[in-house]
Amino acid sequence: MNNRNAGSVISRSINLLFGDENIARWETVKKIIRNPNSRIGLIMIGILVLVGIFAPFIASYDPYQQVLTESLEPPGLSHPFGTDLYGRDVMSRVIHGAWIAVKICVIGVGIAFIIGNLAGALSGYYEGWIDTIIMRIVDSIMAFPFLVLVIAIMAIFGPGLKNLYFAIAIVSWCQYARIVRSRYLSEKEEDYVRAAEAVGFSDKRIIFGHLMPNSIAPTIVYASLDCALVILLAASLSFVGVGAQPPIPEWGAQIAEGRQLLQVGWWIATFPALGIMYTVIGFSLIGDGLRDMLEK
Amino acid sequence: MMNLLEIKDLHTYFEGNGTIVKAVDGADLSIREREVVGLVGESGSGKTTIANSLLRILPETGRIVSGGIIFKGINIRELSEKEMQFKIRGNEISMIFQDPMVSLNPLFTVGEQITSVLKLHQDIGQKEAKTKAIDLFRKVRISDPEKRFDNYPHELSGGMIQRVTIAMAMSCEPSLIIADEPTTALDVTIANQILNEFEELIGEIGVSVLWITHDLGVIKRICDYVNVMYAGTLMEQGTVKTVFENPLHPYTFGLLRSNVIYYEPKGKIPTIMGELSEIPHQGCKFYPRCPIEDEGCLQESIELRKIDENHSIRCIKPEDAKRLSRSKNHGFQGVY
Repeated sequence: MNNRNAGSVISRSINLLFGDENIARWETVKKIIRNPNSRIGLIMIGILVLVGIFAPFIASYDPYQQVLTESLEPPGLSHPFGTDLYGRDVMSRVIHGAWIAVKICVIGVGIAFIIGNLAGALSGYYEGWIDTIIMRIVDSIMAFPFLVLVIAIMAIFGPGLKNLYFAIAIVSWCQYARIVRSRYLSEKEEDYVRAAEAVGFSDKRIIFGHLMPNSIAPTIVYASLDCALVILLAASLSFVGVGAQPPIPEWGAQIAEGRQLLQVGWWIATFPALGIMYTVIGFSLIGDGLRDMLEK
Repeated sequence: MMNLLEIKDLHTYFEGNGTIVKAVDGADLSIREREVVGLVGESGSGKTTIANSLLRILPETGRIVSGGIIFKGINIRELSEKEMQFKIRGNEISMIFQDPMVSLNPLFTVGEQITSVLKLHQDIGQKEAKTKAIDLFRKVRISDPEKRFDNYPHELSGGMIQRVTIAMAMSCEPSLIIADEPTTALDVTIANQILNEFEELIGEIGVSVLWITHDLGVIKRICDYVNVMYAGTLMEQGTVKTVFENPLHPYTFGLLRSNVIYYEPKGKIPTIMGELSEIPHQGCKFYPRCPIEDEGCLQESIELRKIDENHSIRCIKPEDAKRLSRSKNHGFQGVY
C-alpha cells in the first residue's frame, strides 16, 4: 500500500510537468525536496546541469585551444586546475566535460528508459509470445558481462560519442524492461484495470493511461541510480579508448590522457576524476532519496 | 416482453498447465428490460466468470467455449474487440466491482476518472463532462460533489467510492448494469444506505441489473428474479417469491436453511456439508453434498426443467426436495 503511495508521489511529480496545476501535486514535489538525500543530490546535479549548459560562458578558456608555451602548469591563479601537456586549461575542459556527462545521462539513460518501459509494458501486459520474445532478448543481452558487451558493440559501430549513447542504451534497457514487466504482471490483476476494461478503454489507453503511471515509479528510481552507473561506464569506455576520442573533453578520456603524466602533472587526471565522483555521488543521493520514499 | 439479455448454455473454461477448469459449465440466464436479476451462489461457483464473459474481459487463460450471449438481439461472442470497446463496454453494459477501494485508479482524482469515461463514450468536452459528472455525483448522494470531484480515491471512504463507481457505471446510461457483489466490502449500515439509493436510482433510470452476490438478504430485497448457481451450473431459477417460499432444489433449500434470517435455528445452524471441489464427472454436480441423493442422480446429465412458468430447477427429484423442506429433519447437519 505504501508502495503505491510513494509511487503516486513520484509519478504525480511527473504529472506536474505535463498535467494541470494542482496543489496536491506541489505538495509531493515538496516532499521530494524535503528528503535530505534527494535534496542534496538534486542541488548537486542541478549545479552540474547549469555548469554544463553555461559551460562556454563559465569556462575562461577554449577547451581545445593548445598553448604549448603554457604546457603542464600546476594549478595557480591563471589556471585554477592547471594545464595539460598541450597547454590546454584543465578547468575549462572539466567544465565542458560536465555537458558531455549530462548528455550521456539524458540520452543514454533516456533511450534505455523509454525502450525499457515500452518493452516491459508490452511483455507484461500481453504476455504470451510477445513476452517470450522480449524476455529472451533481455536474457541473451544480460548473459554477457555489461562492460564486455558495450565494448563489443563499440567495436562494431566504431568509437565516438554518438555511438556511445546508443551502446549504453542497447545494453541497459533490459533492466528497465524487467522491472516494468514485473510491475505490470502484478498491477494488471488489480480491479481498477478490470474496471477500465469494463468501461471500454482501449488497450493503448489502459497501458499508457492507467498502468504506466502506476508502474513507472521504480524505474524512475532505477534511472537515477543508472545515471551514476552510466557516467562511470562512459568514463571507463573512454578511458580504455573505445568511447569519446581525444580531443573531446570527456572526463574518462581526460583521465586516460593524464594517466601517463600522473607523476609530473597529477592535476590532469585528478580533476576530471573528481568531476566523475561528484556526478556519481549526486545521482546516487537522488536515487537513495527517491528509494527512501518508495520504501517508507 | 423481449429479453434484454439471454445467455444460453454458456460454457467458460480456464486452461492452464494442461488442466481445464470448468468455471461456467452450462449456464442459462435471461434478463428482461427494467428487471433486477439476482445471481447467487457460494464462492467459486462461477458468478463473476459469467459477468466477465458478458463483457468479454476474461483473463488470458479463460475462454468462452460454447453457448450464446444474446444482448439486444446481437450475439456478443461474434462482435469484434473494437465493437465491444466502443459499443458494449461501459456504453451498453457497465459493471460495478466488489471492492471499491481497488476498482479506481489510485493516481487520478475521481473526477478525472469519471470524465474520462464520459468523454470516451459521448461526444462532449471537458466542461460539459464535468457538469455531467457533478450531476451524477449529486444523484448518487455524494455530499459536496464539487469538492469530491477533485479528491483522489484514497481520500474518500469506501461508501463514497462505491457511490463514485455507481455513478461511473450509470454515467453513459447503459441498458444493463452488472453489479458484482458491490456491497460485500462495505459495512452493513453503509451497504444498507447504498442499497436504498441504488434501488431508487434504477427505478428512476429504468435500467436492468444483474446483481451478483452471496447474500440472500440482498437478493430478497432488491431482485425480481433469482438464479441459484452451483459449480458453474444454474440449479434453480425463478421469481424471488417462488424460490424463497418454495425452494425445490435441495441446494437452494440448504442455502436458505443456513441463513438465520429465514429459518430460525433451534440449536445448531444447519450447513451444507462438504466442499465445492467435490464434483462428479457425470450427473448432478451437487450429488456429493445432497441429502436426498440416490444412484439415479448420477445416471445422466440433468437438464434445467420448467416446473411452472416462473420456476425451473435442475433436479430430478423435486418431490423429495419438497418433502425435505417440510420435514423437521431437514437433512442438513448442524455444526455451529
